[in-house]
Amino acid sequence: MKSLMEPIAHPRRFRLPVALAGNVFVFALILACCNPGPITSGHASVTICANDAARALDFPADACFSGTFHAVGQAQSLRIAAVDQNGSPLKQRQLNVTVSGANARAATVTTDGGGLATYTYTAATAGTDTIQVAVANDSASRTARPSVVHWITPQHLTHPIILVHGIREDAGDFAHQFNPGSVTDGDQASDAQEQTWTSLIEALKLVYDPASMEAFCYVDDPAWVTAPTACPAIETPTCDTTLPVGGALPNACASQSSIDLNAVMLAHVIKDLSDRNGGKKVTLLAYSMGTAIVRTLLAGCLTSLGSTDQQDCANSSQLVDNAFFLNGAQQGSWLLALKRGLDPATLAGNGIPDAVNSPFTSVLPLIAQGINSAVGDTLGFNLNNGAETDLMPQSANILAHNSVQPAATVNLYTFYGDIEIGMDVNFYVYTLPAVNTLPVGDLVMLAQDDDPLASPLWGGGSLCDNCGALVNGYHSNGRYHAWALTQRYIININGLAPLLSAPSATSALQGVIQSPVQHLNVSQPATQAPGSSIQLVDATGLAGAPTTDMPYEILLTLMHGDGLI
Amino acid sequence: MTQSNRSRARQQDRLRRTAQRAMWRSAFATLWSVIRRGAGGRPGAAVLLLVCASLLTGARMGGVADTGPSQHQVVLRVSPPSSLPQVARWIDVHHGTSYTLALQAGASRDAAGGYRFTFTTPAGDQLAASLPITKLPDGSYTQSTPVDTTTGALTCLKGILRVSKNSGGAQAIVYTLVTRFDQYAMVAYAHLVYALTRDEIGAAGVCSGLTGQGNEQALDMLSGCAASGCTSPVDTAGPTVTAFESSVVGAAKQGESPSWKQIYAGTSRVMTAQYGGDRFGTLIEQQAQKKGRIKSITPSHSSPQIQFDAAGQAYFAVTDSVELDKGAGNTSVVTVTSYYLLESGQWVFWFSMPVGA
Repeated sequence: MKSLMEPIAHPRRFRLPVALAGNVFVFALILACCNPGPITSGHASVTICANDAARALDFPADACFSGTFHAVGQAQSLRIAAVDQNGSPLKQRQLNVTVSGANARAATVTTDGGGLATYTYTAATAGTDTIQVAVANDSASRTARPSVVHWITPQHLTHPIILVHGIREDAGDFAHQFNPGSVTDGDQASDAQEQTWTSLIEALKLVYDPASMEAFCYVDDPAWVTAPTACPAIETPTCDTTLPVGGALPNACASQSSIDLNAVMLAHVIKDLSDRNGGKKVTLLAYSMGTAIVRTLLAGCLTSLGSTDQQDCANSSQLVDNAFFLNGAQQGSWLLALKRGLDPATLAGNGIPDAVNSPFTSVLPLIAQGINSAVGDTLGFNLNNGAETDLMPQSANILAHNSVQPAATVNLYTFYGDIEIGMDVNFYVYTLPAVNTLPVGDLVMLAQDDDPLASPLWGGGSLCDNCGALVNGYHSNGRYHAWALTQRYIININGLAPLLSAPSATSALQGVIQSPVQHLNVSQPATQAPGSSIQLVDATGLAGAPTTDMPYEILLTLMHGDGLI
Repeated sequence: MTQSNRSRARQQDRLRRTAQRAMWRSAFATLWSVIRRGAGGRPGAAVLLLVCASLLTGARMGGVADTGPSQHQVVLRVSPPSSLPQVARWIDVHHGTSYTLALQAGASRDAAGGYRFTFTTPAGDQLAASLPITKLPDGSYTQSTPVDTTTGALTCLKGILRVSKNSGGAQAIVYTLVTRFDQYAMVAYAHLVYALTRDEIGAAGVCSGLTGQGNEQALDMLSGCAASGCTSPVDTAGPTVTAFESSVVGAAKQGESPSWKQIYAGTSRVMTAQYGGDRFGTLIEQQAQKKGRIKSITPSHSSPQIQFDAAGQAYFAVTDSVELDKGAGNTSVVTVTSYYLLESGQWVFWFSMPVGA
């Protein structure tokens, strides 16, 4: 057998192979550089996002989402990125843009040296457009998730709206979004995630006059320190504005005061806003603890002690036309029940397999600790505060407000997270598939109990009186409407093994915790943006499709109620 | 011991006997085969060799099940936990009750020195309160309502029962509680008697110890202990694994869905509450067709330690080499970690995880 080194040892014999290899190399180079034939981009992929102009004012680096709301007649920009199968930018490549919907059209754009391109267009017709992009001659590269733009005809109508935020949030973040010119969000630079419900606020501002929109300040709201002008003029703080915001001291401004105190204050804000807008009825948008405040108000502030408080709440309830409960807490949080020392292995509720005999009995304590570690600790629950005392399932506040129906004149729209976990089990080398599912709501509030008069031991966030079974995640009955934001996750029980030794360990629960409908994620701009993964049944029949996004559904509901569409 | 617990104990005894029978059958079959070949088919010499060899084998096995002729035998010894859990958690799947007890230093005690506990009823209602803990002469512990030094009877206490369903909220009750748990807080017994305070006759009955006149509720939570004493789960852990794995190999060898019913009974609620016995067998057989049939299971770690998970449940892990028969003479070996959970005082198979996952 000849040695592989032989050609090198004999230079003359080496000439022919070198010459042949050189020719092959040059030929290949010619083919690669100069052949004008079709280019196969393999698994190239294209992504697209819609620039959110309002958010870009505060967070230009974090203002491009799956979709946006935009005014008819104004230009909307979409950012496009194209990469090859290795993730490298596709430079100087032609892309085909296809717009379908109310303003259908086609266009081409060319990527720059970084594989990026921008497509800008102006719509003349109100409605929804879906925008997709693909590399020219490579339809397989088409955007996996298209961008969605809801074009709205700008109006300036008066419909008083109050946003009631959740526990430990800052009203300044929302007042600033309603009226950026007059309210400065003093601490916005520290946390871009603080400004939530962005799409919803923008959608509302396109139709309704921002001057009649307010963010309710808790009596101990951080806004009293960070942005005092954010709070309605009629409000007064009860916290010590000289203390650090959100501090552990009892008097710090932290949005952790009692539900009763805030419900009474909300009654005054509603009355004032309605009075300033010609007696028009007020719509309430409430999230998390905000829904418990609204529910208490609509029940007449039954546990308030002031001599006129209950009358004020009853009177103001009559000034409310709609209440939107967004991932509500009106029955309390199961995480607080855990903090009280209840046994998570015996978690019970609608759709949850029977306590001790559930297949989840042995993993529920692990799941509960994992969720508490990831979400509960972020919420910063402290049982010594009025808020946490009231948000404890079956608290005096909850038992009181759920003892009566909400004020009869109010339309109630409820959106709640409905995360369901299935569990595969490994038996030695075999994997047995999940059969049952464990509904854990939005991880903070369980997906129960529709009955307005229920106060379950483990709390819940749904509300729909005698609405029957959900059909495609929606049901209604008269003034009650409710949407379950259902997301199912199948995990393998062995993925929970890291939690055996540490509740905060990274585990299979991670995917569940990152769910868009998780309590803390649902309000984020990326989750709420049109075209995001949260799609729900359009009950108005006006969205132009069977399903739509949450902010558009809320806007359409309001516009329909106001006779605008 | 309840009917259900007796049934479960019998099931575990059957598993052990099955394992021993399988062990002897396979040992003698192997030896017989070897002897026949080695002795050149002469029965006299074969019998002599068999007797000698069986004596030697018997001495070596020491009562530990053998699951196959080619399997390396490991005497699985499980050591007790090194410390008490922060929260001890016991459930009784047969009575549908559970009892938890916070034991972490400092944080678990109320101002009066009581340790926080919960008792959950089959309806999901929970009593959460605090009572002191006393060590008993045999090393076990008890948490009970005070004993009247004159009468020797339990003294009733006022408590709040958190009602699970609907709008019940909190209901005032009077109750007596007597519990016992072992030195490691792995197994426990609890007996709760209570009545709603507004049920005056029942409440009087609870407080006098003369029940039966009102609507008193008497609930048991049996998780490896009875009122008289506890069974050590440390001693039963190793034999349970050996017997279980032996039975798995036996069932795999039979290769029929019904043969897995016995295995199913030795698994945790994660499986028994998800699949019926028949479905479990069918699923296993389907997987065996796809991935290969389990031929042997060899534990490679001989002394796992019982641990408590972060939620207070006792478990231990065993690393197994699982030999798969893929047909046509092909075999492969996969290493998995199998977890065993103490459920209602019995060790049951919990789940497996591929090593390196």
